[in-house]
Amino acid sequence: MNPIDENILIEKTLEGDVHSFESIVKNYHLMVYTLAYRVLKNREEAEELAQDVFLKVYQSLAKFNRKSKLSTWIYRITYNTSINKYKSQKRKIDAIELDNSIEFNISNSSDTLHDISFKEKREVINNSILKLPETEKIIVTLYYFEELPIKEIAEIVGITPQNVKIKLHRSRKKLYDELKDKVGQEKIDYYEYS
Amino acid sequence: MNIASENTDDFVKKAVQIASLEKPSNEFIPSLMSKIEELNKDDSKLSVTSPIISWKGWVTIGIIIISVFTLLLLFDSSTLSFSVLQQYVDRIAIQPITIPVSGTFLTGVTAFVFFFIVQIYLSVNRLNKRENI
Repeated sequence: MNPIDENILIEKTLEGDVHSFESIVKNYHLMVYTLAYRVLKNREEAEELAQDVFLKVYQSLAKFNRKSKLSTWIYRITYNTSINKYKSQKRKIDAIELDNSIEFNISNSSDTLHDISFKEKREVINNSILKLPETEKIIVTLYYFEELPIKEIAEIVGITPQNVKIKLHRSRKKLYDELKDKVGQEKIDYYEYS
Repeated sequence: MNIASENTDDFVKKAVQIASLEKPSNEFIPSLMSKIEELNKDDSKLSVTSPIISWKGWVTIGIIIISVFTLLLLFDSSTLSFSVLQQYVDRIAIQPITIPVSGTFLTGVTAFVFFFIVQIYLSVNRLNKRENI
């Protein structure tokens, strides 16, 4: 969605047009839900939190100063809300259980490409992302999936661009080390081009 | 970026894209929009929120507090005498009220009030900044 369209939707929403806000929701709900899920690791809680984020966005839309992109503002609210909830719950992932589930998936697969289904591969990669520290998961998702520039990610997570680069470097290495044996390069290529 | 790290970058990028985005339940958008419509019933237009106490209000409160404590500090450091009231009190032949207050106490209270106001100001700014880029 381009900034002009977004501004029109914001104006209409501020005038009381709920359908315009629905367009904004449809445009961002998958990323908001994904970021919330990657921090909270619980689908129900992530869904509840994503709804809270959009309610907050709706109620604070008049305060949005439009110096940054709407997406940056929404992701920043998502990041802050998710991290606050995570910290208040002190939820900890059961790493041992997660490791076992990954090993189960892998041990049941042989070296051939077709033995690991796309769904299983996706699960293995997702589990590896979930093992990263909270801020790194968000950075990795925004950088590699949303392809946001470092500066914008720094605004979202509230750290300097230099720190984003450092965290990105660390998480890239962790993901590569963990995934290279489980999901080989050729398999990644296979799923990308098939 | 060297070739090795470019390969790593490329590998991780592909992996993250395979992981793709999570999907919420089908009820997510209808449920959210019903909550939004519920909110909208009370007010057809979104109101622009404003602080309960405006910045002018805070400045006035600050000036009053600082003035009061400055006046108090100008009094005798060992006693605080309500001399403004004293004239009226004298007229009705009642002894003036005298409260023993040390200069250290007054300085402490003034400093506390000052830092309290500064803290409120900084906290409000910080909270606003968190959600307004």
